[in-house]
Amino acid sequence: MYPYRYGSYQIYQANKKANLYNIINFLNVTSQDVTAMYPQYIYQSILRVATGDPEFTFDVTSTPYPIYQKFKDIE
Amino acid sequence: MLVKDGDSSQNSDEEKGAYDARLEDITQEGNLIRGSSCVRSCTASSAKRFIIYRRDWCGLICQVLIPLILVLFGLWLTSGPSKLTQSPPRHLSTGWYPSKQRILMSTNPVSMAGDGFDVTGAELFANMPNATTAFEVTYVDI
Repeated sequence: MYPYRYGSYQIYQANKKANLYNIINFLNVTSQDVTAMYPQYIYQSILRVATGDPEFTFDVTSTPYPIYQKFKDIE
Repeated sequence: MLVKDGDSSQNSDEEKGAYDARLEDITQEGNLIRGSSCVRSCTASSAKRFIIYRRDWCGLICQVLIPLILVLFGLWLTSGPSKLTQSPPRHLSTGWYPSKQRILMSTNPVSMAGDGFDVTGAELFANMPNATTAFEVTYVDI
């Protein structure tokens, strides 16, 4: 079915007074990026709710490991 | 084959001794294979395998030649120049997906404290990055 659904959230526990957030993230891993993206979305949402700051930003940058020197030497 | 004849029923000591000696000889003949070294066993197994391969060319090709060729081909591939390039750092953002992402979200937490501080799914969704432009949410009661 298009467009595909890559992720969903089930909220098990979310309480501002106890600051307790247990959320289950279901992922469609046919997209290689969802394992990083969808948790990141809900992390930012939780942090905004928990801090009470709707402008709070939690930026994450994924940097790949460098290519092995052994492969470079072959070139 | 050891067979007692009708005269052995006399159970004389002489006949009994002869019978035991013959039995001992037969037992020793059956253990001739004992005492062979590891090298001899391996040599014999290799010779046997070689004889079987001489009769079975298809087996030789499928079990030896083709695997050998594939291994050499794999080694040749890995020794060639690499086409790997360094990827740039990637900032996690909703913009990597071209269209709105369809998501399901609980309407309310499964385990609610009931003290008025429970966070609903709508509140969490509203605080997601680019919530209105990047997502299309469907609330479900689980």
